[in-house]
Amino acid sequence: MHDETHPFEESILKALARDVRPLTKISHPTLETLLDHMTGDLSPVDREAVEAHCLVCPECGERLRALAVQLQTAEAQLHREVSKCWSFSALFEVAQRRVRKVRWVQRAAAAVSATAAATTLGLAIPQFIQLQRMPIARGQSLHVPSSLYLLVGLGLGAIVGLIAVAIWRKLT
Amino acid sequence: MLGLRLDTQETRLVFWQRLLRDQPVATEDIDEQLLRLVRERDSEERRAFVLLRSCAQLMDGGTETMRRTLRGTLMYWFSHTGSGGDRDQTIQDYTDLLTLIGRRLTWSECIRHVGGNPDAYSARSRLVEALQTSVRQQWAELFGEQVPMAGDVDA
Repeated sequence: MHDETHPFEESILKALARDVRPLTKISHPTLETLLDHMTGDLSPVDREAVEAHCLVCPECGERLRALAVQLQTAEAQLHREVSKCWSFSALFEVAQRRVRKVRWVQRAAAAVSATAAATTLGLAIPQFIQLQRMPIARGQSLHVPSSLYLLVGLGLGAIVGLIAVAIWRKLT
Repeated sequence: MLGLRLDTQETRLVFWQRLLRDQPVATEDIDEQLLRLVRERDSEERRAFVLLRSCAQLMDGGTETMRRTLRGTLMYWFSHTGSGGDRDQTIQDYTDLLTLIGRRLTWSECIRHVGGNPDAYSARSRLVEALQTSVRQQWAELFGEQVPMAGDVDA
């Protein structure tokens, strides 16, 4: 539809067809010039000249098309490589987040262990001093309350935990 | 400068490409580069020259609708010249002659591409009539004779 031609259009089409017919050209643009054209590095005047030449010179037109295909392939390859780099950096980011999380857990564990050790020993030492000062009658043995054993045990446990956290941090 | 020597055919293609890209083309520039050479050539060369000059003039002084119709119709005409284009391949750039030639596009898709109404076929008829009138006038002015073709169609 709407593609039927007016009689005058027939003469226009003939004139335009004549303008795009192939010519035998003696001089051709260099490969570097064609590449510059592809990458947009030519001045507007030179770009137009190369385009006009490639329209009427089948040899250069074919070279330009082949270069366009090669450039597209190279761009696709580059795009794939860049995508790989992006996925590597994403992995690196995840790993860094995990390391940060582990460090936070280590710090929390160290803080808890240190607080427990300080608290238990802080409670145990006064009791121990008080025991030392207590007069013991002849023939009697020193009675050590079980709470002191518990506090000393907890304090020693907390110290061991602190040392374990220190070793963990060293290893990671 | 690359030192590529363009002949009249290539020089006309440079101007056609500019018109397709909606870039300004002054008839003075066309005359400066082609008129002297074309005066010495045959009627086919003159016809191609006058057609280009008429299109440049319409593009310069025509209404917005006329300009749009001219660009779309030029795309249509160029797509129906030459051979080798793949009709089914997607066109990236409708204003690139290298891409357009041989693609056998429909007038509707070309006009739609330039933002025109594909149902306004009368706009194309008006354009062709305006071009025909312009070609007659310019030929007479430039070469001092009537267009050497029967009914402005064939030589």
